[in-house]
Amino acid sequence: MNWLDRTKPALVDPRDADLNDTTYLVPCFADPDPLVMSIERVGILNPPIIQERSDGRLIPVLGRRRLEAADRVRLREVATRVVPDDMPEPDGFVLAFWDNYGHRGFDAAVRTVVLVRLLELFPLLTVARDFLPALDIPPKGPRIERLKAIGRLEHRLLRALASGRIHEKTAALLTKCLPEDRSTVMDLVELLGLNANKNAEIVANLFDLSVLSGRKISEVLQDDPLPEVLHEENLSMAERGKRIREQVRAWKFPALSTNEQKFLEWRRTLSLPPNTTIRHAAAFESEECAVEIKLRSREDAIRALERLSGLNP
Amino acid sequence: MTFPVDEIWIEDEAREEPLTIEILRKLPKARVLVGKEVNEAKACLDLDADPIARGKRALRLLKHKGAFLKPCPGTPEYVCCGLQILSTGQGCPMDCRYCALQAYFNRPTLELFVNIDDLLDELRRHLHAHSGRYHRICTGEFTDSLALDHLIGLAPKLVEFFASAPNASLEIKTKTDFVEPLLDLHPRGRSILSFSLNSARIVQTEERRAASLARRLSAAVRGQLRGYRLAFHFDPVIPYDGWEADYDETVDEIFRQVDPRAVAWISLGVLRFVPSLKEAALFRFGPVSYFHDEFLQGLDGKYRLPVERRIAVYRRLSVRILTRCPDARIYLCMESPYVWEQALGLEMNSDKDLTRYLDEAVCG
Repeated sequence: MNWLDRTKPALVDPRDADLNDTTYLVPCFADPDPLVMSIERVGILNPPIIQERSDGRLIPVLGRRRLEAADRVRLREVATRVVPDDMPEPDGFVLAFWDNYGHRGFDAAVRTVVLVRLLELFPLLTVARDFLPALDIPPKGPRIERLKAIGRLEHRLLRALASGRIHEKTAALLTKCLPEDRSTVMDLVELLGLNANKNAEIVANLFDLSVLSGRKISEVLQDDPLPEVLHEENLSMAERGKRIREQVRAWKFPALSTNEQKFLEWRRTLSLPPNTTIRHAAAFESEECAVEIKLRSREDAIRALERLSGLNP
Repeated sequence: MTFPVDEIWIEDEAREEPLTIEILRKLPKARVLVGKEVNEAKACLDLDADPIARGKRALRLLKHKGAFLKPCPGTPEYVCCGLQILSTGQGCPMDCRYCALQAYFNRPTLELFVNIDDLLDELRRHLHAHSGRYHRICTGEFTDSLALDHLIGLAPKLVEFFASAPNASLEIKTKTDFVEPLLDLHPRGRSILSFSLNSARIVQTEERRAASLARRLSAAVRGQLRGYRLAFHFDPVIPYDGWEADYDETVDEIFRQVDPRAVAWISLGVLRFVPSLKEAALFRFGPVSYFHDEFLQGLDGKYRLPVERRIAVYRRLSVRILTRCPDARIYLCMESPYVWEQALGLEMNSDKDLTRYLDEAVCG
């Protein structure tokens, strides 16, 4: 059934619509300001579609953000089209899905929320056949489970995912944390302003430390010297981020950290010429070292090799 | 005790094989899928929230089309033991939480190869074509050697085959105690019954559906009494808080029951894993504390504990083993020459060195 053919025009005050209703929600985490500005200048070009429910509520099917924006610019009459209340929810959501899909790319967060709703409305096999290809989600159960769990996370976290401040993998890890810990982690992420890769490292290490010690992440973050670094007023954001990241890494990898420190101290005692560096074995898997000497030319390299060949390795 | 099989998926090429018919006879209650049904079942299994768990109750019968015998994949940068893997199938009905297979196979079902005549032909040809060298061959790398053997009866055939092979030995590696069908045979020193062992705590909490430590050791004793050489694999060793006393107890228990002279070798390997295993385990079982320890990416990309900790584990375990079994041939699985030297005081600089060291235990 094409429900769009069965709509009727109506003028609606955006304040009369229940914009918090999530029946047909395909979220958008983008900044609404450009849309608000556009509506202020040229009005609403495509009428939103709403449904009048049997209890009298008006709920958005398409154009929720347009209605929100209209309300912000105090438009009190918006031309809409109303679909009958007998339109089943799955049909309405399909309408919303394909309309949104046609207008904008779905970011990582939107895909997860949409997936959750699709799985509430349709059997898994139908979702796999009709929607997963469009969502670019492989038909793999464990992946679907992870995305579902992400789609149920707090709005704040989904926003961070949508904006690329955290990776999908980090969000998936956070689904395994208590809500209190998620909140703590998001406070930290926002405070430090690091990129997604560094956030991924910090979150993974904090998660590991929390599991290994059987403590909440918020408790781990109370260990010295973290509170001091977190509240030190004279630190720049970048410096604070670097110090927190290094400290968490040192807790997670105590042996590696100690080895690195000892190696650096030893290397300092060598007074190496500026063109020479010494590297330790990867992960200090052995006592092997690699010496690198930068030379200006191939001739210099040959001379250096001739001198080195006399050394007994 | 056997492992439940709810479904049998039969690939087209395996439908008429005598072994397929025999397996169907042994599993009369299982739902049988053929042709298009198998493809549909595969797609459904892929969509399952935990295909690994569900796949452990689905048995796929097929013909193996590639080589049955291949070198153990081992790992670059570390010393490997030159074992050859004889593929009889893949997947395991047990469900150890640390199992590497969770991150190894694309297909989560149990698989058995029903063309075992082809397997035996290839084995015969291979040993003949490479008669100038010794072959240590194992069936328990991508599956447990005995967990599903009651369905195909391959292990007894292999024991008989190897009993007369002049240049090869067979290692039957298991976490079960299903040794009964092997006990009336004469291995003539060519078949080694090997048991993957661990601390009682790890066996109880991590090795789901595997036989208890007591049952495995009892099976070892029965095998030894029937002339089998024995081997034990402490792999993975998981050094949790208090691991020392628990592993000591397992070592002591082995040698309270088993004659040390029957032991061909004992391997040690501290837990190591590809990064995707930690993730797979987290989403299957929730946080498992040892996966969150200070694992570092090693030279081969796998996560390993820091070298000092691994060396300390190997030293301690090897000392305990040597106290109980002074002539034990202990080897380390996938470790560097540096670790060998530091942990066991042995120079093991290459795969060839280790191959020779282990070959001596069975062909000497």
